[in-house]
Amino acid sequence: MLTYQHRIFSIALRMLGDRGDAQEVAQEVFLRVHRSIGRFRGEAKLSTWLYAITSRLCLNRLKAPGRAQRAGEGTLARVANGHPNPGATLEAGEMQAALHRAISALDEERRIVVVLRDLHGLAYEEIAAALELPLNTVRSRLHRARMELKERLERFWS
Amino acid sequence: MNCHEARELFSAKMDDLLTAEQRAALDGHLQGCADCRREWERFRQTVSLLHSVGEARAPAGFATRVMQASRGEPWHRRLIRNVFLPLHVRLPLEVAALLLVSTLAIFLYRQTPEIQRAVEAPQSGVVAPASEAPSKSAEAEQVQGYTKTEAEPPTAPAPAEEREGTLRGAKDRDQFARKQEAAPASAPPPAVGGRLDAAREVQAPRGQDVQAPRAKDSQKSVPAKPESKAAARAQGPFHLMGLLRPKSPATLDAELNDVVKQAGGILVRDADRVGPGSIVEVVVPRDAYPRLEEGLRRIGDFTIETRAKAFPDQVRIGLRISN
Repeated sequence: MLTYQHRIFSIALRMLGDRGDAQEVAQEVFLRVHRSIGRFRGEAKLSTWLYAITSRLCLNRLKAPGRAQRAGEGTLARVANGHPNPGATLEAGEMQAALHRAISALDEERRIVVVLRDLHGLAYEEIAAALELPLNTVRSRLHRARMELKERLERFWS
Repeated sequence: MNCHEARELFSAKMDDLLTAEQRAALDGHLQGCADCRREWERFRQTVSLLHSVGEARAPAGFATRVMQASRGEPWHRRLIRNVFLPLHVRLPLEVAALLLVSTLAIFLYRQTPEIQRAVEAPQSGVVAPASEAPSKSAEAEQVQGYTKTEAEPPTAPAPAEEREGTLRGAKDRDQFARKQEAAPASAPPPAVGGRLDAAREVQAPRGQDVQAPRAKDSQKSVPAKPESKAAARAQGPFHLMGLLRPKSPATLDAELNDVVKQAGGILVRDADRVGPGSIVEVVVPRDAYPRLEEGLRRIGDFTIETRAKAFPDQVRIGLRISN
């Protein structure tokens, strides 16, 4: 758990945009793993199992009623500030905030792929296994998400 | 390769997933297309920006809290939490439980005749409820055409021993009915609290269907409306059961009418004329009972068979007429 606690919390935070929600989801992930560790047969990597549970819980929470009112730009700003040294290579705070706004404006299905691949460096195959999606679907969603982000950040590149 | 095809390969190029052929075609296109080159550059910068975002760190003590939660709550804390559920959870549960129990009770009551009899027994006991007594008396007046003074005042609640006697009577009636079903000819006489029907059943000859005379009687009883008689019967047990052997059966009917009238009571008959074999019901005020008994002894040989320990305001008397 010590190995994965930051990774799981970070994925939940990037998906949900709220530290409290992210903490609840991350705790639930580890409790579920603790309860059903006996059923884990080792056919998949433990990390994939953790990512699968995390992704499912995040997507469920995002689809919960009343969630739309909670997610807003204020939340996104908190996401940016959630990290002690967020985006060390980012040019400016404005770009940093714009990036997080753009991420959270993505469709949830695309956002989870970007978060897993570009923010946390998972392989395509691992993402496909965690989300139970065909590899081509993962590739396609990731490409669409990246293109959308490029469009949203257009003004920073001119 | 056109621009659209080239831009579709941007992600694969970024992740170094292109085949050699694809890479060569894309690079060739980018060299000759300024727009796509600019788009590729922006795409690459966007993805690089994403890659630069660091991993967020879980709050301090997160792992410890998860470990504590995974060990589970101690049993005594679980118990306290279950007992003292928040009101918004507990209240709907309690209301639901109340509704369930109420529905179950009504269902059981409707489905179980024993419970219905037990509930109805006190209502049909020695003393009718105050609200019912005057109306039933009025019905009986119409039956016999007697002039009765004012409606009786509401009766006082029956003494405890009377109620007990009534309950015993109800129990006896049930036993009596069961014995009648099993052996109609060998049934014992009714105790105090027996009703007119039960008394008639006792008088039925051996082997005779006790239901037959009853139907016959009901057809003959012209003066009494069927519903009024039914109401009179439904009033409950007799407080006194007696046997009257008239000196003159021929004049019995008129004499009995006079005696009851003088006592200020009412007479319910099951036949046009009262004679040997008849059973009549007399209701008199308690104070007038001695006068009634005196009159009955003038008519003939009057024997008290059973009698309640105490009389209510309105005394119900069952009279069996014999030779």
